[in-house]
Amino acid sequence: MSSSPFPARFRRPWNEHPLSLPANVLWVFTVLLATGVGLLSDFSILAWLAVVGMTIAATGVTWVVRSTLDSPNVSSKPSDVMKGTSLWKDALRRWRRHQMATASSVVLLTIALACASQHALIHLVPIAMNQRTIDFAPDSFFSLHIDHTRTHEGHTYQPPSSRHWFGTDSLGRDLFARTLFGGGISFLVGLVGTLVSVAIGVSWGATAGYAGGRIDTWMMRAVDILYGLPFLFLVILIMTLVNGLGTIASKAEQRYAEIEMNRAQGDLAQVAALEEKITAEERTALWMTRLFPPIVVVFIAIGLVSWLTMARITRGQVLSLREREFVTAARAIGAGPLRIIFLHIVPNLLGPVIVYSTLTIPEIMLSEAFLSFIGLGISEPSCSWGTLASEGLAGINVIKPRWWLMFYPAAALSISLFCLNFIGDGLRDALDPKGDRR
Amino acid sequence: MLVMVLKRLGGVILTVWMVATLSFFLIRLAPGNPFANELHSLSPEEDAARRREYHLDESYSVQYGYWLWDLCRGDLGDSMKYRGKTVNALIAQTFPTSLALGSMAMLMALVVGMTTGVLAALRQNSPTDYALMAVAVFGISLPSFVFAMLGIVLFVFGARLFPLAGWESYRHVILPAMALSLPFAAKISRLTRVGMLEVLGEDFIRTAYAKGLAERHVVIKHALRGAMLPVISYLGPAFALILTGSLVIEKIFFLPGLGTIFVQAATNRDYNVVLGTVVVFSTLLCFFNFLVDLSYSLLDPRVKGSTGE
Repeated sequence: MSSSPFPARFRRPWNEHPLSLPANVLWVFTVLLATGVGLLSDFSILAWLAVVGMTIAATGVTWVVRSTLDSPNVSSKPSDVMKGTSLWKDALRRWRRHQMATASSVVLLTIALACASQHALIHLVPIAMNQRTIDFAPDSFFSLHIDHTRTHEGHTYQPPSSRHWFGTDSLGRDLFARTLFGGGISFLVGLVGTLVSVAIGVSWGATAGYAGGRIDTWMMRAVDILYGLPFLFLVILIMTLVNGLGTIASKAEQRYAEIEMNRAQGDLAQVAALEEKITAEERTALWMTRLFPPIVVVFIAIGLVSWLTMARITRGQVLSLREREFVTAARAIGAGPLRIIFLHIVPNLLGPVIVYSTLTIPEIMLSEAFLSFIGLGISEPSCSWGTLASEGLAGINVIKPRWWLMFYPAAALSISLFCLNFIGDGLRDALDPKGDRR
Repeated sequence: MLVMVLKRLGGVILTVWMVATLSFFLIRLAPGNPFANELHSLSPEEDAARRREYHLDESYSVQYGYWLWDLCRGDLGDSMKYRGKTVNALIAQTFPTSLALGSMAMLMALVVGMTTGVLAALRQNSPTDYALMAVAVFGISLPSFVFAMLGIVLFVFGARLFPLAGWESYRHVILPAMALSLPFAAKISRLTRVGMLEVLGEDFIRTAYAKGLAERHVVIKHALRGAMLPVISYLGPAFALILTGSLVIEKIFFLPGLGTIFVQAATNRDYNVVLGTVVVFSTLLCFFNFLVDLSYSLLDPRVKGSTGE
């Protein structure tokens, strides 16, 4: 380091270095670009020049970083140590140091906001059976980039262009709008599924840890057994059941619509004849799907099978928390066990619970994408990133490689999951520094 | 030790039975029946005859009794969709594909994951470490179908190294196994790194260095043994995830494996095939978990006392 051309005040450890993240990102993109250009040989010389340019830039940035690198164990400002900080301030400082997490949260917020605003706009404009109360011009911004249900006639399988940013699908629907809509559904499933799993996992783990003894042994034995079950197969079977019910229910809904039409026309004999045709099975199916719409089943089913790790973590924390003085104090005042668990112990679990629920969201989104990909998750009128990717896979063939159908939803899903994992890692370093990095 | 093994084996059988029973009722509760989707609709007489043939005209409990009795004799019944094929034959036909895919993916994940994990731990807080762990986050967070598509674009259309799909030679298994193994390689890499870091800080490693042993020797013979334990306990869940992940991979690469026939049978309501594949999958999984537990208690001297009973 003595040969460094930079004065010592520029030295930073790797994880506080302002240029370490750009260096990493540059290298990753250089390697990706180089592989892409090298393997898909129909790129021009310009692409190669870009690769060379990026390599030079990355090397330069890396050289700067390396020559101003400091040992990671030396704090840059020793006076910081003397100041008292609160838990959350300390956490914020550690979080800021995690550059990837900060960058990820910006990217993720952008994607989530875009998806949320598409959903908001769609719901502001009432759509009933494809008949809009306000009809937008086919070339307006709303119908081109926001409305995911509009079929643009004569524009099926359009590659990405300035008109359709992400291209269009087999029915001429804009893929950008559909990607936004699917993203909203994916995030919704991820969030609500996580809430379900956190609710079950924390209650289970806290009860087991607080009760201790034989109850603890049995509850944790149950978790061990459940760990060994091939859960996703059961979820798949549940989803086939729900999808089957959904098909029957949509048929029944058509019949009811027909009955309503006949009733409006005053054809009562026809109404009676049609009403007779509706079977008991159709009625139960309709009732069931109204009670539990398929998307609700998706996140309940996935949430129900992913609470095990949360339960283990909570129990471990509670075991050490319940020996602390404030719990004894609460017990001495006469608080009941439920009050102690949920008012005294659970708030102290907040750090680890936040960390692991951030890491559960991507897992649940992944399971949802997996289910949708094999055709059993979110079904047709609605869509998620998994369904879109699955449709995209069906659209790819050797003669007409319609790559955009697969590429954009898969890329959006990958980027979001990547960001969520980095945020989770950053939060763990910030809120739960002693927790193991797994 | 023997008592523990027998107890665990009993647990395996119990779990398989539970899963199979649950699936039995779930798939029968699903609307539709195995004969509904055929090209020509069956006449009522034919339909009744088919139902009688498969005991579908009986009550659920009687059907369950028939099926359980057959299962105890090792007979998984006949397929209701592919007429004239037994489920045993279907499974025997597709199982080798799934086995090759799964074991190859597991092997790749272990080799790649442990190597990179050890490397990152030895160079802790260096750019190598940060880069490897960033790549590992990539591996954990991306769905396997994205890897599969990337692999197809790069190695099939681009470099023409591997064939696109199908199942003929060993070259057909490499790309699917790679796509399947990447998330697990990433996870194993992180686990190995943490385990290594923990072990490397312990006294016996310092002693080993102090004795003048070469770094290679210390790492491989002393440190890696302790660092393996978290990896081994992860192998059970990893195996379950590889089994389910293979459903997607088999769909993308058109592999004739167990996962494909399971999903097909579930949508076709081919009751016997669904139950047969579920039984095979859960037996495999439980048995694998049993082996993991066993090897864990053999490797870790601290576990012996508590589970040895």
